[in-house]
Amino acid sequence: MTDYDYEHLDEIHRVLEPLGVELSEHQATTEAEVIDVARGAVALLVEYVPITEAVIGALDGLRLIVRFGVGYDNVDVAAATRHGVSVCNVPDFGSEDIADHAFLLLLAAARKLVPMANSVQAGRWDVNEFKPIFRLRGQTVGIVGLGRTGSAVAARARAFGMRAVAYHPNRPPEYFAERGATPVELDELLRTADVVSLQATLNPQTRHLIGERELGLMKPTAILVNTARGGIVDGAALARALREGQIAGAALDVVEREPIPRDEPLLGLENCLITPHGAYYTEESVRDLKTFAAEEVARLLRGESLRNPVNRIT
Amino acid sequence: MASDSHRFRVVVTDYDYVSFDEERTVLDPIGAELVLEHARAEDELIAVGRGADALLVQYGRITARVIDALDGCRAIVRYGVGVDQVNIPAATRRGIWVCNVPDYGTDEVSDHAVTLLLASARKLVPMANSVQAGHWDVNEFKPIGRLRGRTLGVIGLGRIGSLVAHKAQAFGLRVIASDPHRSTDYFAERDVESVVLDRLLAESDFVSVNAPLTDETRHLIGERALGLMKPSAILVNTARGGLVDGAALARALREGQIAGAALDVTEQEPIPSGDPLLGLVNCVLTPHAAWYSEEASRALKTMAAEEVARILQGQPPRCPVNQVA
Ligand SMILES: NC(=O)c1ccc[n+]([C@@H]2O[C@H](COP(=O)([O-])OP(=O)(O)OC[C@H]3O[C@@H](n4cnc5c(N)ncnc54)[C@H](O)[C@@H]3O)[C@@H](O)[C@H]2O)c1
Repeated sequence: MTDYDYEHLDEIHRVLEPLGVELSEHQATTEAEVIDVARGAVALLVEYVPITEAVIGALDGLRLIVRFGVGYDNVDVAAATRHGVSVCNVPDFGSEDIADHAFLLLLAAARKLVPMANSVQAGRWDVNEFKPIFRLRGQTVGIVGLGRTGSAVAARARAFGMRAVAYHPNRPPEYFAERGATPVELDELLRTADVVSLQATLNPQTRHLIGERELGLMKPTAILVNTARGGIVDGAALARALREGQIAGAALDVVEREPIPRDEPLLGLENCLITPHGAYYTEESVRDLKTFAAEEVARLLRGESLRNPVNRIT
Repeated sequence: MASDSHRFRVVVTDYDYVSFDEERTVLDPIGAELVLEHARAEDELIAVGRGADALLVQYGRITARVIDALDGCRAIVRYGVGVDQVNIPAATRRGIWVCNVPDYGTDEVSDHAVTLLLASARKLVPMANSVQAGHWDVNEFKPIGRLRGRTLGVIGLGRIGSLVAHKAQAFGLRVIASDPHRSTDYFAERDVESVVLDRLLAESDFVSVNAPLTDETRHLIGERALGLMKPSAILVNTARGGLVDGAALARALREGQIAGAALDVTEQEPIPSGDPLLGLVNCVLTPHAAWYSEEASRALKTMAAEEVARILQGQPPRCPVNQVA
């Protein structure tokens, strides 16, 4: 375990102990530290630390890297493939929880909940301070990335009387129909959506997918929600758009640099709600995440096929 | 119809709106004069009610004394759903219609209730404030439980309560409700299990109050009811502050008898500065805002004025809450 921010790893021990596997627990933050602590490892369980070509090349007997979560942008998958190392993620431990958080961010931003609650604590009691708020029924939510979480967001939106449109490259019309969303191109989504919800993975194609040009296409009343990865949005451009009223609001669980630095321009904006990368978290999701990740290691050691490989080793 | 000898006088007793365009659009064509007042005290309300053909009321308390002092008033229309501040028997005795506008913002109130529920469950307000204060650690907010499979208890499965149920079901919440005035079929159509109040309180992870404030429901949630709730439970109130005993709730929150509360309404509004519900990290408060959206606000003002116009022109009202002979 190269790095983690959990109180305990009991679920992992429970899966690995019967196999006689030793779990070696570390808090590495750099390539050099990973190489140092992981020498001789068969498998790496990784939370945030970057697993680069240098790391993978330096670790001889390594056969598997399991990323503790959905995104695996901190792992150089191409390098792993070249070295014959499998990479797995855990895509399904908390998509419903993430969708809950994403939809909460949508609702809270639309209804200006946090500034409203803070105003009452500061001794005020006046809904007129929060004009305008618009009715959600009849609005359109535009989902960028209609995967597990995006589909779960679409289902929630429908219960609120919102229409769902989605952008997801290379998927047939049936794929969208099964998930209750209308397929659209990205620019059209940005032009027509009242809420844009980002649920895509971060990769070279999606880095800064939402930048100055894209923000310029959005409605001045629109809200941007991001529970995917900070890197999908150009944070400096977003801060400008929020300050200048080019869009109405943003609600972000992820930012480009985490932990968020003090000089982050997105801080201190009344129309920008930020939570500390907590969308995935519930007691149940964290339990499932640890169990599912450890089970991939167990499969490798028992010679079974992996459940969620993201590369193919030939 | 308005004649030269009598021009209708429609008095807005009190308001916090910024414009009256919708009311004028409806009332100008029938030649009614719109008089805007800021009366809240009983004597002020008596004074502004003199000579009125109809009252449009936001928060002012229309007591029996106010009603008995009216001369020639035919309608009291409340800007909103709740009519608990109007003495309805007194109005009925005087032959004055009391009407509400029950359907202008059911989506807004139910959206707001679900927002409050989710925000409390996921500790959103303290989480967001912690980031602004320079922290970045979700572990500060442990424990947060998964929503799917948990139980929401709705007290009052009316227009708003039914929509709260429907929206909550999309998050995988199981919904139970207590409502003594609804049939078995009515519950079944909504996929909601009918339970008595005590069972609702004991079984629910979230309790949403959506009943009207009446003599029977005042302080429905007091010390006894709070004592029946789970220590992990969260109470949401978007109905009326008077349904909940605020002092008992503040104690329960401070002592960890229940986990949290989120309230859009309080017993006294605006909330007084020393209110024991203020300053609790597990109590989210919003300023009676659940009803509001631009669309709801326009619909409310138009519908309230239309009700006045109907009654002044001798037509039957759309939403009377009393029967006038
Ligand atoms: N916060 C706001 O801005 C706001 C806005 C609109 C309405 N409201 C309040 O929301 C509440 C619900 O409004 P609605 O439009 O759904 O009304 P409604 O009349 O449609 O529904 C109320 C339901 O409560 C039930 N009920 C009555 N007594 C009960 C009891 N003792 N126990 C359980 N249920 C009981 C009724 O049978 C009815 O089904 C009202 O209190 C209203 O004043 C608040």
